[in-house]
Amino acid sequence: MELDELKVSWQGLDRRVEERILRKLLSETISRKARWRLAPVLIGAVFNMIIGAWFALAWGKFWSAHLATPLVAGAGIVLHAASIGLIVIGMVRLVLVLRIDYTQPVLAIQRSLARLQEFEARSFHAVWFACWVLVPAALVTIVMGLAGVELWDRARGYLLANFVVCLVGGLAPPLLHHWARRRGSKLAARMDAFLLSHSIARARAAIAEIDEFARP
Amino acid sequence: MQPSTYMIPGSTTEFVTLLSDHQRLVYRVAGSYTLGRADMEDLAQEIAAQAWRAFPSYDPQRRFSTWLYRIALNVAITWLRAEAPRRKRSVPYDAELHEPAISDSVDADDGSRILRGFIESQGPLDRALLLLYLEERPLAEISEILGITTTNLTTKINRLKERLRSYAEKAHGTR
Repeated sequence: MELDELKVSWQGLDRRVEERILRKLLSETISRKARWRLAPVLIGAVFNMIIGAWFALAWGKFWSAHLATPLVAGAGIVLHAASIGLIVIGMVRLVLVLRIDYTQPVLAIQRSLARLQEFEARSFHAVWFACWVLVPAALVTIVMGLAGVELWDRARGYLLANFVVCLVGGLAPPLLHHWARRRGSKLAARMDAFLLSHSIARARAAIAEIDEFARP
Repeated sequence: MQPSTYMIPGSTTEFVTLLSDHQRLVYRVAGSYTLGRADMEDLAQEIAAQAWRAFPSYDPQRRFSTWLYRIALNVAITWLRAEAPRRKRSVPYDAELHEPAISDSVDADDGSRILRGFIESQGPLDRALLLLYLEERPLAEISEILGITTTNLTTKINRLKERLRSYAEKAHGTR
């Protein structure tokens, strides 16, 4: 069987397009004013930047007021840097989203979308890890800000234990995922399903597929 | 279809007219990237919505079908990558819902069955190329829609033909 022979079959396929469906398509399209699939990503990026800016200001003000206590100032600087990281993530997401124009050639847009997905996945994992390891730094600054107490002097053991627990909490899921995938267990499949939109592997597979298609 | 030089981009009436003229294109793309009728209608709706959003920037000097194909295929491929695995996990089987998106007639011939199976077995980009080829779009237009050279396209079409031959042989062999 040849591809050209199938053109006849293709032309004969019944799409079952009814007048009712077309009317629905047109009326809903116009009334919805074109919902944008990427709108949540765009809103998320702007939200990231606003939250990041607010925290950057707060932590910047905090650490500059506590330069006399190096550890507290250090914790404030770490949180300040993390807030700037949030702004950067938001800006990169925004640029990547705004560069997507569905009227451009298919390969170019699919590559941009795959890169956006890869960036989303990487930033998700980075933010997850940061959320855990920044807990001790946040504790130090909050206790100092609210009670004027330096936690390192009062509860050093608690702080160190907290840091270890948070480090494990931040690293455990990605390590568990990696281990489960290598063993090919059901847990890996469940985690993959949970991380569907945050899977770096899926994004990289899509980029590889596009590169392969573009290759002569 | 000739470029619609008389159209004023951004007008609802013009958009409705153009989309009505090209409804077959929208449904063929949507049907090629979905398995069920409900999904096909959703995807067709999404394609139309994206086209409406982009319509103010449409250049009437250019061919409307090329412009719409780009949007339709981009939306469909994105849908296939994002939505299909999610729906596969969450939607239980329902005969009504899983009615084939592009269905052949009751006395479907071998060609139709093989074609449907072959389309579903292809990756999203090859599926786009196959669809455009079956729609008998000129190579230059396919190249413009997909964003690859015509030389590369010829190679890809030849490979597609080889894969079809092998697929058809297997399909006949298992019957």
